[in-house]
Amino acid sequence: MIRHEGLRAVTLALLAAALLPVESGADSDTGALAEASSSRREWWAPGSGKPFPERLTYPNEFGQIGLINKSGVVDTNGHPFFEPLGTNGRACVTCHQPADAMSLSLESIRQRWEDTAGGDPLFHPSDGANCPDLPRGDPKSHSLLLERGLFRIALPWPGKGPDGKPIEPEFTIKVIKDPTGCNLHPEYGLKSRNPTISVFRRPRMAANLRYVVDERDDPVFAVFTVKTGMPFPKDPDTGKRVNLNLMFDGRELNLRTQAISAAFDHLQTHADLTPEQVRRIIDFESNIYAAQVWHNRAGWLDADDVPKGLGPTRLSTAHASLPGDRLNTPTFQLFDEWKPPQLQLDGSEANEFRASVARGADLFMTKLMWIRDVWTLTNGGSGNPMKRSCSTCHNSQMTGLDNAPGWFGLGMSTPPWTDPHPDMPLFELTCRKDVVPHPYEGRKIRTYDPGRALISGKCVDIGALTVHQSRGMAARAPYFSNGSAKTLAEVLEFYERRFDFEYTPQEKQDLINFLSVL
Amino acid sequence: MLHARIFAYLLVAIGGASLAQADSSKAPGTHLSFVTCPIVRDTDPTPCWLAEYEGELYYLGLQQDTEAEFFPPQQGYKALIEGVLTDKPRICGGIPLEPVKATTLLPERDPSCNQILPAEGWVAPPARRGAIPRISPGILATEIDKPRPRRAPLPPPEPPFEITTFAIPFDFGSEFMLNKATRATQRAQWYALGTNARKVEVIGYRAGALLSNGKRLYEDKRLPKQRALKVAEALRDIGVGDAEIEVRWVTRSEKVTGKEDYLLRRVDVIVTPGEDSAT
Repeated sequence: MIRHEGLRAVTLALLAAALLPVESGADSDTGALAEASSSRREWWAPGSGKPFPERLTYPNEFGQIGLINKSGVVDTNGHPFFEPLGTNGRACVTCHQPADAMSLSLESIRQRWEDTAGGDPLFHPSDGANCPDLPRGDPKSHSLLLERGLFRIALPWPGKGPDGKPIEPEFTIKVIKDPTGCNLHPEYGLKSRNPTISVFRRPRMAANLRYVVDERDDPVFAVFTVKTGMPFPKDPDTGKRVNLNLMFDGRELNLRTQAISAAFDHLQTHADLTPEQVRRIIDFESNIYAAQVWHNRAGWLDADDVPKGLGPTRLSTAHASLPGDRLNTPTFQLFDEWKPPQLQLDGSEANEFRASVARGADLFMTKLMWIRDVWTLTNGGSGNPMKRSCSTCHNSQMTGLDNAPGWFGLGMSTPPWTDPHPDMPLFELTCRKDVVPHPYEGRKIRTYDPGRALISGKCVDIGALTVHQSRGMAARAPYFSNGSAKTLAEVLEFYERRFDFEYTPQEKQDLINFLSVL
Repeated sequence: MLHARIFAYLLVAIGGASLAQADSSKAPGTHLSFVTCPIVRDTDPTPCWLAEYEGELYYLGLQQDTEAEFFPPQQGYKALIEGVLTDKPRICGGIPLEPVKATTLLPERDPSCNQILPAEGWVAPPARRGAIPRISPGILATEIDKPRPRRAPLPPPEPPFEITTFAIPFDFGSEFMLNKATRATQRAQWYALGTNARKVEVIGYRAGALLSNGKRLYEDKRLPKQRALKVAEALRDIGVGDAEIEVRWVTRSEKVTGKEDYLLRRVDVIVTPGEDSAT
């Protein structure tokens, strides 16, 4: 069943737009944003030829997302990010929509389905359907995209290692449930001529990438990653150490190989992108910054008198990859502007809301929970359990990425931590007796997404996935790699369930408010 | 606030001093080696790790103090505790073992190892680094007028250059390289590159543990090879020439004595400086 919530969002957006001139008049930067924000939330279709301006805003449920394009105005005519490069009519922008913080919200997906009766290239069956041979145009064929915002990621099994040779997996994979029909499919499945595992994941943000793919050649970074106990991998092009934050499973190490593989997998190109196409894609996406810029209850987030971690402007200028799990250098900076005495609690709704956001920011840093049984965190000498806060893992300033990058076995896609998902494929992985089993899940593990293990072949990596940035959350629901949290409240509820604690209703609201301004 | 916590800790510690002497029948300096469920105490500001043996509670260390020698084990498993009894005041209710090594005994799960004690008035000593969100040196990302912190690379090693052994420690039964192992590996690489090493021998070992009750634990025979290959792979990855690296391993278990047996679970990297390096 498809729900349509667009009307509410549009109403809120119009309300927000009506307020903008009053709030933004004193600041030239915000004035420019106000002008751009008069445009309605829109869909960037491939090949539209529209210029991509320096600043953009789009409405969402909480206010508006703001984008800064540091390249200056980009002519999208013939631009490889915006033009269909393959055979299915899609471009990069299809799944990295500016209105959705350069990710893709479920709201936009459903709106596009209704606007095109399912005919948009977005729904191309190659990965926009539960399996490529399902009848196109039938909502049931696209249920995971329409209900959860998930695309099919088809991974060869076993995959190849960095040396190009097939990995030797430490486990076998059995398909327990296959509601999509794709994993048992004679042509597309695990037993096909080209054995393939299909998992279903959300598109990550193609913005703020300076924070995501920083090369770790600065001596301030460790050469070794605590996640594997081995050195960080090297960029295949530069030879410099790279982090592993780019993809949910870390399978691509730099933006070049990511662009090429994404074009091949999602755009159905039949030849590698040219070096010039890759350069232009990387140039464009590396200069895009996205964050909530207006909140219906807090006002402008890009102004001088708001906390400095907010808004896209400061995001576009700040230092990248600084540790943020410290009280004097918190993940999303200090919120003193929204705390007394700087904030006057005068009974106004705006100031009450701002105070709530500031409390939420403090909770993000200091609300302690017993973090237990998380592979790569609690096994590495930190102690299991460890009493820490959200910022322990979301500890990179400005984005909430993991500053010790890599994957966590959090249970995001693994029962019992995740809810039952009867619409998703369920796998059973059995580890060989001669290898180290998963320390918390054992030798026989059922999961909806084996995660990093499909790339590394290691038993301990089963279900492990990489942290995603926490910016632009108001614009890009649902959350988590499998879209299992439809709302910000459900994000928090996952952690309550996972770590067996409860926020008070006030704490939960403060955190939701905090996340909604990022 | 922090000062108040330290003061409270000192008060509790002073109060516990006589208790430690009264309860302990073993002499300071005694080496203890035992297998038990690790215990966490929910102290402020940081949880403490403890272990019980023969009716006595021992203090091991703090949660995730990354500057400390002690790294906590994992609940859900039993742990091998190897430490030296001190006559220091009790901390978090336990007699401090120092130095102490706690190793999670994988892979057999023990769900009964899940005890979290309440603070019961105990206050944890302050951690040096990493245990909880705290005030630490650093800059805000938005302070763009300040330069981004950079750590200066290590200066090259200074002569005289001699054949030097770097011990890479491993946990009992494990080939995973924890922080201490990776730091030691980097140190070996630094010396090998800085002295134009003509030979870098990588030798894997295994060692069990002689427990205080006379029983022995043994490590898997495959570990020396696995450990040596892993360290060699890491050294190659960080720039030590393949031609200089010689890898071997000793399958026979090292002789254990019940005293610091954990130091024997290791890989030795022996760096022989090159003839063209300054001496």
